[in-house]
Amino acid sequence: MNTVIVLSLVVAAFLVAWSAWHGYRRTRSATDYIVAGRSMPWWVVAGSLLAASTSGASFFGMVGDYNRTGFYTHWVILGIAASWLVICFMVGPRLRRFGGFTIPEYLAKRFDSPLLRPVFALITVAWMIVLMATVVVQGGLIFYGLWGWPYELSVSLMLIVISLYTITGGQTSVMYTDFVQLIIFVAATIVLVPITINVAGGFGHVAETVEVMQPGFFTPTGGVMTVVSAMSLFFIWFLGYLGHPGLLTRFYTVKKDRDLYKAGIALTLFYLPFLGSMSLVGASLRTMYPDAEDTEILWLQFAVDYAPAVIVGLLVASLAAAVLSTADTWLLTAASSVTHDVVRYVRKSEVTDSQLTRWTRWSVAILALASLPIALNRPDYIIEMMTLAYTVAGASGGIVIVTSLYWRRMTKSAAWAGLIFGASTAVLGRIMVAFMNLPEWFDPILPTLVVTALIVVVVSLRTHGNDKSDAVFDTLTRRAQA
Amino acid sequence: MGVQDVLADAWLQVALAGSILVLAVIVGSVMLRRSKDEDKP
Repeated sequence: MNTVIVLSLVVAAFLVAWSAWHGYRRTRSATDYIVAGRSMPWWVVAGSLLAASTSGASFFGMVGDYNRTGFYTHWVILGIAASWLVICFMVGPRLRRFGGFTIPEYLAKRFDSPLLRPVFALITVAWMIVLMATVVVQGGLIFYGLWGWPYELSVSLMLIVISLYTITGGQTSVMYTDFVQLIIFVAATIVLVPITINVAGGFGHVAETVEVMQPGFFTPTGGVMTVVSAMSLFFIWFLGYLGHPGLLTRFYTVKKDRDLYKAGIALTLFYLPFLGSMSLVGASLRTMYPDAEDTEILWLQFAVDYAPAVIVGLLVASLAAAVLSTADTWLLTAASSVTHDVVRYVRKSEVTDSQLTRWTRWSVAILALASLPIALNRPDYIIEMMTLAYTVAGASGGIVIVTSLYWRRMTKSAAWAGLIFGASTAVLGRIMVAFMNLPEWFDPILPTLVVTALIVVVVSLRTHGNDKSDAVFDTLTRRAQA
Repeated sequence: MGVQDVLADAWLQVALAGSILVLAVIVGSVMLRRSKDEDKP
């Protein structure tokens, strides 16, 4: 068994190394390094977005969530699928026409507010580092769980691999390796989902058993949650993705609007059936391991117990791939923001192309190192931090970014007000949920979203924009550049 | 409990998923057609 698993990991590592080398050969300038020369084909963009959004958490954690809360977890993937529509058809084309490097850069220019750039960049960096540490923890657990390697060694090894190929080939490497990693975990899913359902006794048996164990398992609340929390889940993920700098930066890498539309169709059609199939896995595992405590590693446990060694190898390689493809995206996004938005703002003087590339490479190494202590400590509240990050992103960045792309009248004051109110109220809301005994029907995220949107509208109507800000908006709407 | 029973239980989510998929195809196709026209000299 061990030999086959090692062999699978070696094959996966070879494919990743080949993609990194391919990226390195194509990298000649800062534009190549940070936004892949703005020439990525649509299928790589679609694949890398899907891979970046499918971390170990969603690949294995989602199986665990379906296992516990039934179809309630569908609201996560429905929220994300809806956001793909908006991102690829509405947000992406306009960001592409802006043609920058980072999201803080866009916000600062759109609102003619230079300070917005380092401020939003620092928020982005903090968020990406936390997200990356969370993902790397899952990667470290692979080797720790399989072979009992010291956890610290496993995590460090994971970070070294991610840093090496991100430093080497930048965005091109990240996107091509994401695509290769996507193929690995799609292959694992296609093979393992039918095997899991069959071993559990077939669909009919699984459905009847889990419905007896947890009545309402297949309803939108999963029989255990409330309608309000289901709606909140949908909106957290829908808006959280709309304000996600790591994903939005991908749109700077595309040459034409057409490529984004193709990517949007492919991504949405593929995403729902692919992630939706995890619900069948979660239900099947519920019948087989009814008393399991750690539901997140159940699928791996199942594979070890029932599947041939080669399938276990494929699953382990796919988990590693899912971890790498997500962590590299967060790492490069954070590093680009540090150099392009913070260092440039502080230095004020002109920065050459080669300096920018070199500094971004250094930032990748330093930020990877910075995330190591978080990953090593494995704090219990890390999942809560992730939820908080997406809530803040949705309530502040998501609303502000989408509105700024489609409403010329939106002003600098409205952007600041939306970001500050959305972020602070979202944090306050999560604190209330954690420490106060709120009624079940109340979730603070929904009123936060509505009030933030209202604040953006009211402040925009009560204040005045300027010509620079309007000029940037006009460049976004010029379809002739498409 | 068969596939139909499960789909009946999750009708709201099935309807939403179906709408998202149909929208992706229709909106995407319209956008593609419009951008093709713009590419013509």
